[in-house]
Amino acid sequence: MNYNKLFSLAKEKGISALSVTKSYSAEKSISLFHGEISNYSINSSTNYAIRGIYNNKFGAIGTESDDVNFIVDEIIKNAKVIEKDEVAEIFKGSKSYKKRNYYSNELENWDLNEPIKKLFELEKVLKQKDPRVIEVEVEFSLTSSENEIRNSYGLKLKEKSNYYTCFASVVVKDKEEIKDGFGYVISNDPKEFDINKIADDAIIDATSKLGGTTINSKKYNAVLDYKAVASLLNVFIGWASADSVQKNSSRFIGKLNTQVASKKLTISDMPLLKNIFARGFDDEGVATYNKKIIDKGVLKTFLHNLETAKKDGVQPTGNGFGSLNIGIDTTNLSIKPGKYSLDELLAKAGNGVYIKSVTGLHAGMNGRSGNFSLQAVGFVIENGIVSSPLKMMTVAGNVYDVFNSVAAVGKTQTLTLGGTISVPLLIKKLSVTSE
Amino acid sequence: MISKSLAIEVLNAGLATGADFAEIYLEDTKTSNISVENGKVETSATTVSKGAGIRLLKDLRSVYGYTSDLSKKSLLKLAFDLSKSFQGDRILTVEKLKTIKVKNLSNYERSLFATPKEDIIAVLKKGDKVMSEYDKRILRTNSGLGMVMKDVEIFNSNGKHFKDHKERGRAFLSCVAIEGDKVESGYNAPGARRGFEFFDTQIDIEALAKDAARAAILMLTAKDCPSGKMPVILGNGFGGVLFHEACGHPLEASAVSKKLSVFSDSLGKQIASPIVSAVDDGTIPNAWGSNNIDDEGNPTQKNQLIKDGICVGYLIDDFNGRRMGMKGNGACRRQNYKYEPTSRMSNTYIENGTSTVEEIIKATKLGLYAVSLGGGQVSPATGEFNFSCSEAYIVRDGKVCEAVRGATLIGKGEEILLKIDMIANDLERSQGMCGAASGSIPVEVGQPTLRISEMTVGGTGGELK
Repeated sequence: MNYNKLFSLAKEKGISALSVTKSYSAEKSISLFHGEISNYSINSSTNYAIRGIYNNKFGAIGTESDDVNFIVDEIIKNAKVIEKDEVAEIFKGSKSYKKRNYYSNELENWDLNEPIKKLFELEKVLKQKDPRVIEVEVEFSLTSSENEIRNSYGLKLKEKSNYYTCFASVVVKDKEEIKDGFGYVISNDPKEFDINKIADDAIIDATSKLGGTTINSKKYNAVLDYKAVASLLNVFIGWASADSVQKNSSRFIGKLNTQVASKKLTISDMPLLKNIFARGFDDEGVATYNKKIIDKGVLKTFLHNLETAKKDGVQPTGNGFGSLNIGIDTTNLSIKPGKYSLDELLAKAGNGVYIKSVTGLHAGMNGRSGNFSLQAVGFVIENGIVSSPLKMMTVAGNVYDVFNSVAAVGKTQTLTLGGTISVPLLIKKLSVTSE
Repeated sequence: MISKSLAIEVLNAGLATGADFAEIYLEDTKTSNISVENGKVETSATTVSKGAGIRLLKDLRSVYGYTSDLSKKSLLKLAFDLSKSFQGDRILTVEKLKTIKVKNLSNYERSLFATPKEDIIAVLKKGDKVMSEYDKRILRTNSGLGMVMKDVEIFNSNGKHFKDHKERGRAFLSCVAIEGDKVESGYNAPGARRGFEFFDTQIDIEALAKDAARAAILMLTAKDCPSGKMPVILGNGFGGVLFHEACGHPLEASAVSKKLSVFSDSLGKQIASPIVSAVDDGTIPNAWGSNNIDDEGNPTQKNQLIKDGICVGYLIDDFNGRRMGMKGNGACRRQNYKYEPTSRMSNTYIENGTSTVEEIIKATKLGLYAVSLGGGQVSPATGEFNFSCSEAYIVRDGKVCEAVRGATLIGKGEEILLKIDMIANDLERSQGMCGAASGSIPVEVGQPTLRISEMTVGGTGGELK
């Protein structure tokens, strides 16, 4: 992309400011099936997300080509039809940016024969570890990406990241019952590629669901494991988005500096944590910083992008993410760990349910009201320990109520695939429907 | 997008190490999205994407790679890098490529891309206005239109070359109703492989907008749905997402061929109640999920999946078909060049039955009538699925009674299909997007109104009385 040519042509045609975000990513992945490589892929692509201001309105184009004439024309065409009241802004730059090195050179130089060999071993281990295993699928992938922002004010920002993932899925059968399970690792440290742990996770995940029972459909004390908590938390924290507040889609309207969650909860946005999801600047080029969103249950800040910050007369908070339309998002959303191990939470629950994960959020969750009705993977807690799995079940309730009825917070933090650092929670009274 | 001679060179570079099949899939795509929020144009954006995906097959192994750089150097390098996965001698050489004529099943009158944005905005504002004026409790309205134009070119080592041009558009009408701390939404999203004429004259945007507003207001005053096991009547149209999740996905060769589906090895077996017959048809003119050719160049087909409850067909792509000893039947699809294609659905529906909607309701003593569904998910290995209801009512003594909200339906595909005990004659299809291994693709789901004798319904409203 000839940036000079693009910026000067844009200026000539009346675009008062222009920002280009270049995203490059390259990936190699391998899948195995029945002891052979069933699938191998090598991919790379470069995409430009370009936003320009024409007559105080934004026009946008996403493109894989660098045809500057086409780009400038489309931006103007798009800007011309915008009617919304707000004044568009392209960021001139933050005073300073925290530099964090989260690109792993060790990973870049990793001889791929090593993880491929481990992948074959993983497949073997999964097949042999438990006689109930009837099918196994494993996949490894290595990704590196680069994100660069350049704008007509001379701002130049760049960051790189790389990571690998390994997924294992197993299908187990016992008598006539079939269940599936998953294990994975996502990391940028080759030393964390532990095939025994992945295999154990997948097999336990699958086999623990066999032999399910049912319970009466009513409300129970519930221990939500980290994955289920993360799913619900993302909706809850979505209400802290200034965009939702300004569009009347949030339950946190007018609640800044008031109690919105249990006193036991402190939830932070941690973009500068040194991990694969870290970001030094948001997608508008605003420097990011670590911040408490909820401190001991009190809402301390809304999350802003440039537009919402301008509307509220405050500073942007580095939460502007998106490519052609900038929305609001968190990075490394984290719950401060509490005092209790998972076993201690189960003991505290006494009798109730242990919910490992929930699915169907895209359909069963009302993001605006927080009402949910979701399929769940759950187990019975009897006298403080997990006694048996539950057959297909749903859990229902409201996200606001969940985070306001926390009885205890777990101490083990786990990073989810979606970039949330979550812990298990004990909550009071969750509606369960069991077959 | 590339010359036949370059295509031959790239294919042969890929075949150097013993692959038995090579394919270059090229795509040039343009999309445009406009949205109106609370009566004002809020966003307008364009995307342009062009690239190539190269696939090599050798027995039961596949390798795939893509690049957005279509230069000769880049394509040859990609083919060469991919060929390194095999160690063998060349068994196939491409000498020439024959262009196969592709018949266009989906004609349009006025391309959305040749329509001035102002005309499209005028139609969207009509819908937006109807929603916001329906009731003072409707506080947010959003009307948008997304259009996609794709030029596809496929070259393969069978000596074939295909070219196809496709356009589609979909309007989104949604609104949010708020009363106190109750927030509910309504939504309609009609789409087709047609041009502007579809939105301007062929569908009634104002009626669809009014329906979205009606649903939002209805749910504001709805009671929380009771939970438990009960008969469930599923409305026509988007109710077909049940079949899509519970049965359609498990019938795709990608899962079936690897014995990872509950319906693997089920041809000739009774997998549904004897009144159920179902079809996947990629040839329906102008339908949202249709294609002229599939994404590996095979002509699309009308595939009978279930006949009188017996499994008679699968959705098969050539590669997964190898494991099954069956040829691809026009069901090979991918989101774009960045995805390796695999067997997917197109327009999937349960065929008409012999009852009427009134007969089904009258025959139900106590149960749920889910008029429309929100969306769902399935695990093909276990057949377990879930989906939410966006508009539902309790049926008591053969009559439709109070509206309920927050219902989630769960079950196992193979069990539910056997429990369909009444099917009406009001078949309709609705549009949606389906996500799976080869990406997000446009599909239609459909069915007549039908009843499932017993299903688990999740909700916070206590026991069903």
